[in-house]
Amino acid sequence: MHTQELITRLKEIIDPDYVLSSEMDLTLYGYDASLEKGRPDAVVIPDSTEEVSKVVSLAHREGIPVVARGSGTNLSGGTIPTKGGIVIHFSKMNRILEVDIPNRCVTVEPGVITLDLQNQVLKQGFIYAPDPASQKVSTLGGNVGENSGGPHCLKYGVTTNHVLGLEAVLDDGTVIRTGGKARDCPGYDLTGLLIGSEGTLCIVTKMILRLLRAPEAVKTMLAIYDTIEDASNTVSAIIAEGIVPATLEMMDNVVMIAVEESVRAGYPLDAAAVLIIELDGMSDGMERQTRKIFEICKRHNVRDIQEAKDDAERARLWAGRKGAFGAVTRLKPSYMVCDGTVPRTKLPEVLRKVLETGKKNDVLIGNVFHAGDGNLHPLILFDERNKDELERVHKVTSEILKICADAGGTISGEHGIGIEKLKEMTFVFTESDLEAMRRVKRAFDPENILNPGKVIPEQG
Amino acid sequence: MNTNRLKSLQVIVGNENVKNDSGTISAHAVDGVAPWAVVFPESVDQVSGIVRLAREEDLALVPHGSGSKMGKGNPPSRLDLVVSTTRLNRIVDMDTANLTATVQAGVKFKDIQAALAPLENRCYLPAGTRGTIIDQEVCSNRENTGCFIPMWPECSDSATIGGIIAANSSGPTQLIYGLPRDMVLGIRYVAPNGEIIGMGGKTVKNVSGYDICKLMIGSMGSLGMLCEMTLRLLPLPESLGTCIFTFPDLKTASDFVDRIFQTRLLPAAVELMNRRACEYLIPEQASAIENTEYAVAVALEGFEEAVNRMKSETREMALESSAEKDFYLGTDAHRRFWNTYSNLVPSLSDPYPDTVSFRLNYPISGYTKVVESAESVIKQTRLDYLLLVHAGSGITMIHFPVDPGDQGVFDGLTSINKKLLGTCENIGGNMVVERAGLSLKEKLKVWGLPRTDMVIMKRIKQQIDPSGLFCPGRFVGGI
Repeated sequence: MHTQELITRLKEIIDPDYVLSSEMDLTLYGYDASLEKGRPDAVVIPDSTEEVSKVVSLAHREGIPVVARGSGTNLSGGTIPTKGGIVIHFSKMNRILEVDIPNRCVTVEPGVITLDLQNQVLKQGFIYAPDPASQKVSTLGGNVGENSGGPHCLKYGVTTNHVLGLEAVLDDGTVIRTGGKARDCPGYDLTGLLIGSEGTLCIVTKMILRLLRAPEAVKTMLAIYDTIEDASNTVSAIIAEGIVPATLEMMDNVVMIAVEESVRAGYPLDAAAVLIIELDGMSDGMERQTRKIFEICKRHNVRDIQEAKDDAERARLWAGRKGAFGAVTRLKPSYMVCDGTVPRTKLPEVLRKVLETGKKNDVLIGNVFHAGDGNLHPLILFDERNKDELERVHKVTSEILKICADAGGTISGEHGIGIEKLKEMTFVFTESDLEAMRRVKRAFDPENILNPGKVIPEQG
Repeated sequence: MNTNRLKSLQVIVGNENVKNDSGTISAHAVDGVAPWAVVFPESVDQVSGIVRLAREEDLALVPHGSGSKMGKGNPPSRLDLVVSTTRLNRIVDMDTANLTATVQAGVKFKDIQAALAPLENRCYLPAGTRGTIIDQEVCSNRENTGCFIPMWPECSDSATIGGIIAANSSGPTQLIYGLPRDMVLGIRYVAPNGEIIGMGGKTVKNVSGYDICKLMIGSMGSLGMLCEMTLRLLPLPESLGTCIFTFPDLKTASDFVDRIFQTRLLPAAVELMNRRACEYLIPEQASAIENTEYAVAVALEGFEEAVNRMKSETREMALESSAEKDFYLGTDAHRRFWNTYSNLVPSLSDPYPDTVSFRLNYPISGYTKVVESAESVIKQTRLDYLLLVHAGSGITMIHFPVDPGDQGVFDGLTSINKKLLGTCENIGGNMVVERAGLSLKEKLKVWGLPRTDMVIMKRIKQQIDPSGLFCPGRFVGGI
């Protein structure tokens, strides 16, 4: 179908003001938070499931690719329209449709901003647990597409553990519902399969998310270390003592320096690592756990450990971690964030290898990561204009993922595969494994119109 | 024909591990359909060999563990082989420092729990339930605390981990710990084309590719044979205890339940039970529960201070809700109580081998509606029944101890099935028949009502198992 005709047809389905096709619009919807770029033929901003269904059904008849998109914060190129086609942007489908406290769930449209939902339910004493660092801008639809994590996964799990049901549009425009407010429905766990499928199996148009009671008490601690090994060993030791904190976050010296310059969180500039430890739950017994954690830290040569006395102090301890990705751009204009994940006890060994790789290839690497669940985020800092450096960055990224895979880990903990890590899928999957995934893709989308070319590498 | 196939199977697993004597065959019949052979592979490679043969010869097969879930589902539309996981019984890796354990499908649940505990008195299950000791290399560096698989599914004395995961079987403690789907980090299985597939791994976070683990968990063997799984563990709770309160009627009992969920307490399970269920679970209190209609058991697992506070606060709330009697079960009694709870059906099956069980799911606040409806519908049939509600999780189990061969109850059970399915459906739920005799099953909606996602489930089955070799006809919608 000719582009102009496509746009005319789309305008018959959707309010013409919300069908975008100007040069600027197509450029704006051609990139996300990764390093890749593409260009759609048209962008639509639907207002209802019905409109999404009609757009997908048109695309299906005409064999046009469709890419669903939220705020575009994803870090692996998953929302880039590499093969052109239609981008469906969910900014208008951003309603919290129902907050159902008795059934401990909410029903939302995909365009709702993660933090907006969290703020709203917190007023009623509840939390939606997954808290990706981009929660201020990321959408819940994007979180479901990528199976997002965040700092609190160690205790609460990732997005998939908090989604009860979905409404989704299939490749031919059929609308289905999976799961629901009633948990544990008979049949295949399609909800679980769709979460993290990066828009390649269907287009999610509504989500039922699980709420939890907000914890009665929270205790946040900050521990400062002279070596990264001591900090890593503390992480393993805390869990070995039978304590599962809500969070165990770590930052290394490179990141700490950048953070100090931007948010002034009070980190010493000469330390090797800081660890943020947070307990939550019932207040009873928390004092004793805190003392135990202090002891464990001391046993592992902590230089200094402090505990937040109130919410303001807690916010200050967190400010550095939350602002870390932004702060590193003070050191270099661009960064590439890796997302390898390893069994927790392998952290010291893997970190050492990551730094060696950086040194060998002459690139600067800062580390900020979810230590509790073994999820590394090495930030490779560079200048995009320097082509030679960019090449080395891609090489180091791939090497880091190989290091993680070889240590019994995986190539993505929470950012997804998108297009950026297609090549590395073979580090963790055999051709048979990939073929099993392709069968699932064919069951949902035999014509390959839904976000084509993502997640699974084409047959080798 | 079958002689050649038997020989081929013997080549794969060894002569002694293919059985076709009448005893073995009838013991492994699936809903009355007997296979012509039962195979006992001991490795994933052997399973792969069996499935490749099945594919070449178009043989239908059903995986089999301890048999505790075999009553679930429709009778197979055809059956050649039962593939037993009995010899797939190795604990592959116990990495307690990373809080993961990797086990083969045939390992018994209770054996894993025992192996994870450094001392018998620190085991999550009660002493004496420890099963056979398995050859293993335990690479634990946890000396003091021990850990556990955070679930207590049905039939914990006999169930294998493979069966539990294949059925996504859960119990009352899903309230705090979640479902098996939340605890499986990785799997290895043999797909219907005979290929060995590995998905997931040893990390809690993993978004590399599609989450095929989720598809396989709860798929009841219809998409391949689960051989190995990596599970997420938790450190053993420091303190365990259970409060039980009795109430004169449903209203007072549910008032108490609702109060608990108004607080920020974190009980591990809140279980509402009718008197008949109590008689089985706490027989030693028979006289105390004589005039009771309902009881609520609250499981407390966590740090000592938290358990103590929950104990005193739940007691206060129960008294305010007109509780009549209250009992507290300490660590050992707690473990025994929930173990008895988990193994209620096998113990009922002793006098009543034809026990029928229904499992209802619905939005969690709908439990009073479901229980009221069950009471009134069942009353009309005069059937004896045990009713247990996982409050806060939206699950109700109803067991009917039926006298062997008593077909007189079929009409009553059929009408209960129909009416309660309607009740659940009205509030957005569904209802599954967990076990029933074959002739009764034919009259029941075994998997409840199909929903809009059935269309895609069929497409998935068609793509993954196009020849319908795995458990044909057994699953939802005749998949």
